[in-house]
Amino acid sequence: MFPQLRHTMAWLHTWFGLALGLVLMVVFFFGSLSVFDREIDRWAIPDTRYAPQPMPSFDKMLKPIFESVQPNEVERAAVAGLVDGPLPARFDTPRSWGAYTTHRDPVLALFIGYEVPNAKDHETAVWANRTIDPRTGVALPDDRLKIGSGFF
Amino acid sequence: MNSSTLTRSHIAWRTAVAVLGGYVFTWGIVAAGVTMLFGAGMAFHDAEHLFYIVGILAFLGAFLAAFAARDLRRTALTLVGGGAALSAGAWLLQQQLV
Repeated sequence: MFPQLRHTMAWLHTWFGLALGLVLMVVFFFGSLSVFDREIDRWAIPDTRYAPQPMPSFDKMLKPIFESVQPNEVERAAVAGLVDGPLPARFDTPRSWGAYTTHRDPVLALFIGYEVPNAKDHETAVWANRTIDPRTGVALPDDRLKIGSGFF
Repeated sequence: MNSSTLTRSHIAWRTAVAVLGGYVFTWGIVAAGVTMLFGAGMAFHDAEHLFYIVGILAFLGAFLAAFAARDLRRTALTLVGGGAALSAGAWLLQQQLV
């Protein structure tokens, strides 16, 4: 590009360094945000700024909620191509139930994996999620979780 | 500084040849290398890993050469043509092997 190799390499080092450095800055910025994903949740949902809670009663609170949560449209679409025939309107046979909480994240995330009838692969599962306030069992707004832990 | 080589379009072409031409050339090197080593009896995944390592050096060399070269047209032809020739050769050899 220039008569001297040294000039060419200096140009390359300058401009590609600047361009790729800008990309790295963007990457590091979003990486820094991702460290604070739970704190962004707390910011977005002020009602969830409370101390970590003990796990609520399975029989009184969690079991009825696990049984009531169904996969949303996105999760249904993810398995729609993996079955012979249409998907059932309601999934009844859970394969796994999970509840997750941390000291940074006093809310309780619930995961339910359902068996999928007529699945081409018998290990296919469809997932349902809900995040609740462990003190009351009330569901948290999904859209506001999506800008924090749901995004990262 | 030579003003004739520092036009916007020249820089865009240089960058395109370096990035895309380097990619095509590296593709050819990796395809040909993996095929030849597999043909010579090396396990496929060993040959694949080895030429991924060679590939990153090949891309670096092609990328720097594209900026260092005086004649951009010839460089582009070497990288794209060479990459295509190597890929075609690898494809022909694969037909013999499988």
